[in-house]
Amino acid sequence: MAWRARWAGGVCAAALWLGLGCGGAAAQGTGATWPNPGGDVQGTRYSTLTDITPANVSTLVQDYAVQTGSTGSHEGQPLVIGTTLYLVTPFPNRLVALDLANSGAVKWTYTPPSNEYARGVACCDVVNRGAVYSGGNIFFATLDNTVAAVNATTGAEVWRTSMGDPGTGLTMTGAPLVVNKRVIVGSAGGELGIRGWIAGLDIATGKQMWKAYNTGPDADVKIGPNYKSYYAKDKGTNLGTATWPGTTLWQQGGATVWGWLTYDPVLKLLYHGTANPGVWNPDMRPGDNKWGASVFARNPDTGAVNWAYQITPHDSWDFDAMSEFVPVDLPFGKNASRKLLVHFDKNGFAYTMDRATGQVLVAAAFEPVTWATGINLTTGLPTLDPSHAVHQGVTTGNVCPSPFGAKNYSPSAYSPLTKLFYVPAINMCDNIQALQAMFVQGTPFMGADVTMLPGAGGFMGELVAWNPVTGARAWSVQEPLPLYAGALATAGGVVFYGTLDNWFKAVDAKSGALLFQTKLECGIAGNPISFTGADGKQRIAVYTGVGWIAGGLGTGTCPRSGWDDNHAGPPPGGPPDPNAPTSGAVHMFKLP
Amino acid sequence: MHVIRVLSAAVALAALLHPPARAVVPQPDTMRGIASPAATLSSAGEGRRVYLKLNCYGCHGMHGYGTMGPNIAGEGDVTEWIYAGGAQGMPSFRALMTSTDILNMNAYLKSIGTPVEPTFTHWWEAVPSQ
Ligand code: HEC
Repeated sequence: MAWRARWAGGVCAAALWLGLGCGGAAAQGTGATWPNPGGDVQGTRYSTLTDITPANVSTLVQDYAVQTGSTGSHEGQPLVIGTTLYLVTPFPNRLVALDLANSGAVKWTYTPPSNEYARGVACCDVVNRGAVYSGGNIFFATLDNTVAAVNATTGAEVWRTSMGDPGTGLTMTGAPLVVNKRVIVGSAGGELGIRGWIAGLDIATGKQMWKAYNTGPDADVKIGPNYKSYYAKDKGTNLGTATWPGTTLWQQGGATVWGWLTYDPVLKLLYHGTANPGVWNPDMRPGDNKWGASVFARNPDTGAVNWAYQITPHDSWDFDAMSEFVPVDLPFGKNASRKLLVHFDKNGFAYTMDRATGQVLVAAAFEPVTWATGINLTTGLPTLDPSHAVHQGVTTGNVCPSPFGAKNYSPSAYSPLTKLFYVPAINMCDNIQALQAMFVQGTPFMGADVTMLPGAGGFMGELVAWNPVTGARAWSVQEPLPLYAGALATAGGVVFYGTLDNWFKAVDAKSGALLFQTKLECGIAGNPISFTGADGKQRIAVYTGVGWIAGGLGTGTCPRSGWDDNHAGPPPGGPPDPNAPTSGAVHMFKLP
Repeated sequence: MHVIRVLSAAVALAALLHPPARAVVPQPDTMRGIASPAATLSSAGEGRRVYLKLNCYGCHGMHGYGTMGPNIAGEGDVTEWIYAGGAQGMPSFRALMTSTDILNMNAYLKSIGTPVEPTFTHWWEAVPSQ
């Protein structure tokens, strides 16, 4: 008996060490370190640290801040391993190692050669969403389409792989994820007629081991004999071409992978969404346009699709499904614990799915929605409101959400304590007219004239606490500007997030009550992380830095840059402040 | 646009000497039924038609004030840029624009912000209805 218990304990310890939980549930959350973009591989952005609590968070002070030397939106998050913090700057992308035992002094900087051409073909600012750590190396993708592996101790390049020419309109902005022996990366560039893909590189050499396109024939998509889908609408052969009847536009079909990648170590499945199908003009591409605006469950070793579900068929509103799909286990119906997958889509609906099958169990709007009245759980199809369909040459008014989405790239956080998701949301709508478009390689293939409108209610942003089992809000905090930055949940019971108007805030995870706020030098488009400082105490870190697209949502760009000042005339807040900061920064907070 | 020019003078010059090789591939499929109508508008109007048709607006904004690319409202002669492109993302349109197109483009960019600025969006119609 004693022997058996000890043996079982050993298995449990090994399972935890491998990132697996005991009893078939995956361990969630991070502690002293922050090794993945989303904290753990599931992307919960949950920290198990408990020093900072609702009772003491109001005393939080800035330890120090380090300038990144870059402008543009700082959209990602740093990593922390041991006493080193790693950050990737916006383009031209540099990987910088900061010494946490020495007030953030720079240990080394890795600067890969860069191709300036990427700057002008990046649709949505020159952003980078972060790096990933595994086995002594840091991996990240650059805007000009290389993936680099760098020794985390020395800063020496281990390998660098080119994934394509920015001259074609291709860019890379997403953070990689490491699963087993693969570094998984995805393409951006859907606004420039790129045919979106996801690829697995060999962790030791950087060699491409598989690449799957998200449009086109099954062989290219890696849909094979193991493919299944829960809904009839997603069954069939070569749907990646058949659902584009009468055109070959799937070859410029978007469906890129610029958001977050997540992994379930129990089912051994990689989850990723795909962006909107291109061209924006929906009349030019009749049909469902698979696999744009969809979710895939893939084998991370081979890329083979296990199941797929198209979230927004024939997307006409720029509803990328690139946001995170987070595996969580929760009591559901008669099940004491069900393997769920939770996703907040740009289209305004929150989806709670069975992550083994792709069945949608709960779908409810988490922000105002006008394009559809609901999601039919039997067919898996949205129930469309025909008055909000988009057509060439006519303006469709008051489409909610807008192309910024009810939630953009900004990642949610999940707390297993409250069993709630914390969602940085956007309350905006738009008037949209589709225009005829011609494909010219390396140029935006859009065909749309869009006017953004604030949503009803006098607020454009909202932190929504969401119950994925009931499909209802627990509480929300309204913000004047759209939330364009991620959330962090901690075991201390605190949720952190930043705003475009320079506030870094902490609220009570249970009630949403504001517990702490501090005004920083620029707005926040990045995602807070938590880790243990060199003194063994809990820290919080977050980027500041807002570029032209996020700045256009209200505050203008901060830090200033020649490039950004040159966009769209003077910022809405008036002419640029000559004393404005000229660099983004990473800010570190601690208890006094 | 002046800021950009100062910042990138060296790279822009390099691009003029070594224009980046770039395939420009209009897809016959996407062009079906949208062959450009015969010139029916003023020079600025035809310039706006090309501005929309060749996706300049995707990078420089619906009215030239810049989005992904710089503000080019009121720009002078664009010939150099059209021929050589730029090192920071501006493609060469040499293969897609005639010298008349370029003159029309100049007229259009000059008209921005003036009472004669054409602001239509239906570039594919012979006489755009809006
Ligand atoms: C893929 C995005 C893109 C497209 C499409 C594009 N441009 Fe540009 N353009 C740029 C960028 C980026 C620059 C900055 C210069 C560089 O690339 O180095 C630029 C620069 C320019 C300039 C010079 C501005 C200055 O600094 O004085 C002009 C003029 C111009 N573009 C006109 C056009 C016209 C006309 C079209 C359509 C025929 C067009 N562009 C299409 C991205 C684009």
